[in-house]
Amino acid sequence: MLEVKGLSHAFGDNVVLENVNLRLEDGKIMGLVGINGAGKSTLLRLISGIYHSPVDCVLYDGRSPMDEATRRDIFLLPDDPYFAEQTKCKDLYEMYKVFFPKLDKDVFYDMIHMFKLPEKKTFKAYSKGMRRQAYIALAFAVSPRYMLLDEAFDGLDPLARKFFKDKIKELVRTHNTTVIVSSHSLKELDDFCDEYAIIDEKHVISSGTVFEKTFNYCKFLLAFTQIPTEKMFENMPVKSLKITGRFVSIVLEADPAAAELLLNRLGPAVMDKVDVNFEEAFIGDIDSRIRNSSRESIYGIGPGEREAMRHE
Amino acid sequence: MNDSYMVRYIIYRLRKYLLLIAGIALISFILGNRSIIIHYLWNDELNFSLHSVNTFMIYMAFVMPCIVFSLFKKPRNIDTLYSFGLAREKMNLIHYLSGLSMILISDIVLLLSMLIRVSGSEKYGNAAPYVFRYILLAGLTQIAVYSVSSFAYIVANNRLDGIIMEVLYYLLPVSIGELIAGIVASGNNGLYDDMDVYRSFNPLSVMTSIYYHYECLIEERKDPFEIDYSAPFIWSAIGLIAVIGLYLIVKHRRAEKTGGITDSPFGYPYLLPAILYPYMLLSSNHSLKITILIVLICGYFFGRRGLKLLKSQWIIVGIGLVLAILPFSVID
Repeated sequence: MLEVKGLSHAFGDNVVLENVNLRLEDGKIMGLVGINGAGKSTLLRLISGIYHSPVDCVLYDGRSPMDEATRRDIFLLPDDPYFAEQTKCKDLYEMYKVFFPKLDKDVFYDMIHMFKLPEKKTFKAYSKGMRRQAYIALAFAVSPRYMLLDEAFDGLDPLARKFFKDKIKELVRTHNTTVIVSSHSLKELDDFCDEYAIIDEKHVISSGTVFEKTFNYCKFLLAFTQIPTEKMFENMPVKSLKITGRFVSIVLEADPAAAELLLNRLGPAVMDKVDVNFEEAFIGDIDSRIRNSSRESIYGIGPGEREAMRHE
Repeated sequence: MNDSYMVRYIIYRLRKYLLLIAGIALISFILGNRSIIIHYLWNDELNFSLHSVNTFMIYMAFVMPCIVFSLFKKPRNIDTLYSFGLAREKMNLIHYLSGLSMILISDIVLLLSMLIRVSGSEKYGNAAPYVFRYILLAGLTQIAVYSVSSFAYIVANNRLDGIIMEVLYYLLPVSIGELIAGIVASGNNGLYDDMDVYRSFNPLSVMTSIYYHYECLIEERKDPFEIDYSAPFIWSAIGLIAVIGLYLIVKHRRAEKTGGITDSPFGYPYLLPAILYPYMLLSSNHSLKITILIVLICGYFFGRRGLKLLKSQWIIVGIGLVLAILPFSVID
């Protein structure tokens, strides 16, 4: 089990993380979500023992990641992983073999061949996605107890992404591996993670199971005979609202039955309840922070406007 | 169990450097073999010269840290290397040892090559013991320089700063030596009669003295150049301290600083005044002193990204100001 308790970190005077608490049982996949600069990579570096963390703030079954023995159970795939000018797949394999003696050569090369990576070429000639594929091959050849993946799907094509997700699920099933994945692509985490943690403004503002997260929200598609206005939804717990002509897509933080009752009062011609995805729930959470009691921000504002509101 | 990771990593590193080791051994062999040359300016006579060998040894001591530690100067590499199950201080120590191994291989090849060369020479047939002693003493000093340079390179957060730190750490004892020599000379009516002490502060002077001393002995010159035999051993002790320092710095430094400007207390902030202030004490040129002080203050502002200096830095600036307005120098 991985536990993060009251973890804070600063770069000089700049506090990046403050009092972060997480708990992840063995054999679970956690999605680490946050906007750019939220501190996801820093958190992963602290969890993996690259950055010094205070004593007992990060524990793997009671063991610190600063201990060598603990790190031997951890595989970290950083956002920008190591490669030198002359690094080839073989060099990567040899380097990781030093630290992961049980590294499976067959698994590694099978996946390299499956991804059709040119073995004889150096990593310099690879694209970002290809380099990531080589590291993914390595991750599965290691079959670690803890797998930490920073921006895991970055640069991967849709097929590679699907393959990667399927293999992670398989690894979790067969080896009881515990996985933390950070990603901007919330859609990628939706059907894949058991748990999530949303980092924003130095804190984990929300965490739990993905089901719980989406459970608190409900989404409706509405059609009106008259053109609706934003004012109509003013007194509702709106998380997201999109008006296109006579059609409305709305996400509410409420019990579905209560939400249905509220919306029915507006007299829509058609009303359908649809599933809320993780991305909508996430945007709802982040937006709530930025909104600061102003309702305007939930109506699809741009980053510039957000920044302006933050200053206000 | 733990040691097996270290052993595997040492073997891995040496295998990575195999081509470099072969190149170094080849150059060492050629240089050792060319220690006896026909000197065209000296009536085409055979001549024993350690100059190239000595230059190569110095070059190795300075360049090797850049080769073995450059991997640790990129955040991308740190993210991968420090996530492995081997303590960072052990990992750095292994890199230090792999550099040391290459230096030792080079020295051994140099020694063997020179021994083979002198044993086949009629004129220098008896030079073998001198050659052996030269390599021993120069090698000791070379390893000390390598150790201090490694420490200097490790103190830095990026590759360029690493090279600058190596130069600064070379200049530090030289600067102190010049100050001491200046003080000694001022008490002796301006005569530098104790040059050995002064020279011992500069490890390159120590190595040069050793080679020149043994060259004189091998060439059986009259009035051979005398050296201070204790200097290589004193430098070895300093080298050992540098290795311990290297270990401790790596253990406690924050990985997130990699790639940034070097702000370690062992870096620019305190090293620069330690090098420059002796020159301020020695000089009576006010414009030079003030220039040094202005450069230092600007450096602090640049390093701190603003006008807010640390208390210790204000103290250093204060000392610099006193030195700058001193109406005399210590050798006046």
